[in-house]
Amino acid sequence: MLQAQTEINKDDLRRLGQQCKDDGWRLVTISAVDLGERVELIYHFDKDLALKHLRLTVGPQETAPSLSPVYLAAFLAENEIRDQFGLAFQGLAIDYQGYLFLEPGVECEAICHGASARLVGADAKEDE
Amino acid sequence: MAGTVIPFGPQHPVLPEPLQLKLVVKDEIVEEAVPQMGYVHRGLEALVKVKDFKQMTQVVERICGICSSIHGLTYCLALEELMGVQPPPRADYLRVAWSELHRVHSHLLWLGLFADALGFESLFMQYWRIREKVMDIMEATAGNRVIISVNVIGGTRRDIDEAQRKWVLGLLDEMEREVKATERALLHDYAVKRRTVGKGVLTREQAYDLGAAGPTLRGSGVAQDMRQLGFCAYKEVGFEPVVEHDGDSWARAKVRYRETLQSIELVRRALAGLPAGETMVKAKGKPPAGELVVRSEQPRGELLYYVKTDGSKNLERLRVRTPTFANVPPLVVMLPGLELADVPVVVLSIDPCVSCTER
Repeated sequence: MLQAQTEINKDDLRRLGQQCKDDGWRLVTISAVDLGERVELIYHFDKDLALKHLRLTVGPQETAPSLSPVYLAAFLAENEIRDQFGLAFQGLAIDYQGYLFLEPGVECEAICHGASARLVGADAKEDE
Repeated sequence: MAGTVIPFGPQHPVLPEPLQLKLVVKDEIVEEAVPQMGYVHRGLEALVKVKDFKQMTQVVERICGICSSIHGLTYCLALEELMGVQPPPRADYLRVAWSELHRVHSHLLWLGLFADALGFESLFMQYWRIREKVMDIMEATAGNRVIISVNVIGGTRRDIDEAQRKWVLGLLDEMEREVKATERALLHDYAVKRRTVGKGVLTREQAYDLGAAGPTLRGSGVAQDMRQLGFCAYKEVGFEPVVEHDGDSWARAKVRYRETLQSIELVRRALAGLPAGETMVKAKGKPPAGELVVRSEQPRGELLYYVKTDGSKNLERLRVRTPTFANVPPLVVMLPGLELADVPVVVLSIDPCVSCTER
């Protein structure tokens, strides 16, 4: 368990994010962890070298609200999470639609399922 | 989108990294900039499933060649904290020395590329010639010029003996003189200032709110540097962040120039204060279940490692947030309003490292 962490739900994210911004906290990044059926998002904030964290768990088939309307820089981390974990965000400031790192036409599974990418039209090679 | 869309990158004569920016331009003025990435994405974080926690040290060192050692250091710091391993004091000082040498070589590399981007090729060659001394030090003390692989969980696997220490101190004096000799050409040249002063301005508030890191943040007046956390022997050698206040490309260049000289001094202090003793303790067993966030300062800024373990020999999750990942969103704000010809220098001014960003 991380020090200075708070568990939150989706409806509270933007409100608490705005509160953090108003209180002078800087968004460092967003980490995503695969919990099997669910994905856990950990928002890391910094102020005067101290860290605090907000934890949000998102269920299967759910979308998460984007924090980019509050912290613009969140768009890059959220797009990366979309690519790697297949989790969509609502209200992204810049939305790469799942193609931040990969080209359209490259079939892959999200990092949390552990499968390798399979190129469409090229020799297929599956990792066990 | 109105205006003309011009793709800047991923291949461009001035851009050292494979980053593409889709620039919406009207009458030579940039109206919008959208970054595109993915050219060097390797999925290194996913390797935690197939490489054990000790093997991952070699993986993270290969996230980037320029700041390789500090990736390895940060990873080792995280695992040491999780496993309750305390490296010997000599290892802490050696880690500072090698990390600051990495900072010197990275900043000299950037200063050279910066000069080259301005068309100042002789200054570029000058900086890279000075940088060769750092590469010689890496090769002599660690066995490799680029990926030095000195950090292990529990300390460092190499040492610097007394003869090497004196030789390195002598080279540091030479490098300091040579770097200072370039100050007038870099910071006080009319043509350099015309291309950089007032270009790509990031105010203090913007830099902070957008999550900028490193010289990009400190060039806008925010005195934050993760070395202030005092990890390794930074508290003992003494350290204050280098800050400029104008927030433009010139301020960011000046921060890196001053940090180069500061890092030379920090290496001197680390080598002068080297305590006797071992450089490594054995880290036995596997990391217990837990999670941790560790931060350090790369040449480009704040580096964050989030590590989650489940008690097995493989990590459950490794999340790496590199400084360029933090500095790309500020570009989206810096570029609009600039003339197209100013874009390459401003992009270069954040010192982009895309292999770090994409992993």
